[in-house]
Amino acid sequence: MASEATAREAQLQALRYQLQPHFLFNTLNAISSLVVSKQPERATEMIAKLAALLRNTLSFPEAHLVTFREELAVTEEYLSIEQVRFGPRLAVSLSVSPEASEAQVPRFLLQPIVENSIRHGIARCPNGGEVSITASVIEGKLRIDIANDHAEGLMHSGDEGNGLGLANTRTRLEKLYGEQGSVTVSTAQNNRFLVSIQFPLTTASSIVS
Amino acid sequence: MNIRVLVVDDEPLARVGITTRLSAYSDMLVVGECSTGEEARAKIPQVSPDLIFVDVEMPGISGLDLLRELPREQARCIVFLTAHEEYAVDAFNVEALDYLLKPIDDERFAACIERARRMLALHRQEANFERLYGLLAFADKEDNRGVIKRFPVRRGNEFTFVQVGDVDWIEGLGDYAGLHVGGRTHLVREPLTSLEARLDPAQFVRIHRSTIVQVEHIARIDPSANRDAVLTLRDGKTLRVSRTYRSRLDELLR
Repeated sequence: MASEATAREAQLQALRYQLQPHFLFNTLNAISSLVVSKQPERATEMIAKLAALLRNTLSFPEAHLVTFREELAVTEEYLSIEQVRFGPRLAVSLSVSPEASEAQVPRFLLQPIVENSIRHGIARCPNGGEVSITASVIEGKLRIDIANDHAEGLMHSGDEGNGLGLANTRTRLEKLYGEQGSVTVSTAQNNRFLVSIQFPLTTASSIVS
Repeated sequence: MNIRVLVVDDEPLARVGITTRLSAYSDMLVVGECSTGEEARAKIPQVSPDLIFVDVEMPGISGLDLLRELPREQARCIVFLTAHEEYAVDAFNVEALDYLLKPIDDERFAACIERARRMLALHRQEANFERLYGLLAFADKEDNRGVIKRFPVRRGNEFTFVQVGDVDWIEGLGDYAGLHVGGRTHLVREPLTSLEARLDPAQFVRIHRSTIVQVEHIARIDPSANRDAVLTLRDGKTLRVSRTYRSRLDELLR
């Protein structure tokens, strides 16, 4: 029951983000620009992406666990919208092992963290930067790293939005995995902001059996 | 007359939206595009735009900060672009011309362009007037003793002249002076003190820090408390004489 409530919470959080003027109205403005500059294919493509993202967030599937592959697909949809908005300022790199790809993860786990890394990281870098997502399985645990460049002298760990996002993620992992789940934040490597998530590996087949 | 436009937004497509819409207006000439506030700060003095479209939320210095630090003459016509309604008050405080919400509404955009045209036409008229006024004032104002003969004044968009002999009294209004002529007031852009230096001292007399009167138009002077006095003009207007200037007045009237 408790994990269901936190799943609902995560869904609300994702929805709240997507309906924020920062994301929604700027995305609609980008679409409007594509229309007035006579680029209908790009406009309809972006409308479809936005619709897919909102549809996924608004849907109420039975399972609050999905495969990492599915969770990543939605995040990629979101990232491709942001890439149209930011242009060459936003670089994305993904590296996911096949094993990690099939791992079960809480729905909406990835999105809020990636959204934060863009909103508080890349969006504040005049020359842009990279968001990288890596996932692998190490010693029976799934490990997901989300790293992003950040503007000189600007650390976003103190930001309200980011703090709240991570607090929700932490609570959720704790309810699902107890002490086996963890979220850590660091800025060590190459002055990049890094969020690392770890929890025990489960797959769809292991849950059924 | 072309209007020089600068577009400042960190999102490339947001700039495309503005420049594409502007291309429908033949008088709108895009002279530059910037993706950050820093870039715009360097560009503005180079291209001297008449009209600037600027995003509020940008990395580094925001659109609002940029405007706060620009000299007023470089930022007369500013239109803010933003997805957020809550910046409207700040935009108002930096005297923005307009505030467009994203996504841009075409009708609203057209109204904004109309507003910018009107505003810039007024600026130009004002600048032309200043130039013309300067010429007239220079060519005509003084006789060979350096004394003003007549004032060029503006009534709406027309120039007229006020003969010095018709002026009843002159009121100091900071950088301006008000010429009171038969019940009308004309503003001239000159502080009272520098104006006084160019008036015939036999014809005009200072009676107060902010008042000069035409000697011929004085009807009477009555003493009042504190060694001040009250002066009445021919038309019945009463003015205060401060004691600082009392002796000079007495001298003239002797």
